Amino acid sequence: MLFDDIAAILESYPNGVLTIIDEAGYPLSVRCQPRADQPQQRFYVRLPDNLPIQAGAASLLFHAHDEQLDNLRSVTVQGTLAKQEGQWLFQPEQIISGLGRSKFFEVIQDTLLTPRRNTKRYLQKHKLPRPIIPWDKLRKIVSEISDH
Amino acid sequence: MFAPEIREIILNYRTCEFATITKNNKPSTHPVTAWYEAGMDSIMVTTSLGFPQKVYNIQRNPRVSLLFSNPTGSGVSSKGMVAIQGDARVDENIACIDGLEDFWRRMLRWQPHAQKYHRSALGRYLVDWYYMRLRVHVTPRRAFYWETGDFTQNPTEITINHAV
Repeated sequence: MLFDDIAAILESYPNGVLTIIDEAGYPLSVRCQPRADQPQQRFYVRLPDNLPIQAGAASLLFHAHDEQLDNLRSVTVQGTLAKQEGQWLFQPEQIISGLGRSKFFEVIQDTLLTPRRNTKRYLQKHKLPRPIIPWDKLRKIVSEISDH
Repeated sequence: MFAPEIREIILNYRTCEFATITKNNKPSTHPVTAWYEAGMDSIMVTTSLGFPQKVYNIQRNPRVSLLFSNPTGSGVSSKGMVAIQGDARVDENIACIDGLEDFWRRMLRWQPHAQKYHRSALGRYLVDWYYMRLRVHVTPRRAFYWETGDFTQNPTEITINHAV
């Protein structure tokens, strides 16, 4: 089921962004085109030889937007990266939904409920009042953009 | 700090993939819009209070990376790609509009549909969180550059000169 879901994701994005943690402890991302290994329920990824990539926890992010930075969509697959017989293999563990979910409740949850709850928690945790947005200043910026 | 061809990518790509490390020591990567101006010694990323997980991760572990790999909408013809690793610092002062005027000017120009979010009183009430921003400043330490964007090829490792 997990493998089939990821195979479907691969069909809707031209490639993905693999992120690993390198030997120095920094994350490092690189584009790649995972290739499905159905019998083993895993994915081959071809990676440049000279990058400091090492086996371990990894993620695959798939995302896209249009020319107007609209129609944002994304999904992440968490898993592990391993090297076997000279080839890199991504073993998926979990799919995490991202931007662009389309069912009504999902849209409400992603754009209103979750961010509003997170905002409230952040402010409470830091004992901060809710900032008041100076909307007039934002309107002025929009007006300047329109004039140009 | 960056050669002109890399600066062009950082300045114009609409999004980059921003990676932090979770408390379970796993990479967590999200598309964001970065802010950089020639002469700055760091790249700025902002995150709304609505999605603060990146900030929580950085407060535990400041090591991050940025991958500029999607030229859609940027007008950059080279389609080059650059991966930057660096150390992040969170400015815990929440910024809304003041101090981010140039950022919003560019964001709303690049993303015109966002101009409608605050037109109505209901919209302003529902999405005020979007304009409550935490600024993350990333000091680059190492970079890899793919001149043509062919990610199957070996990139060039770039030494970052903070004196420029």
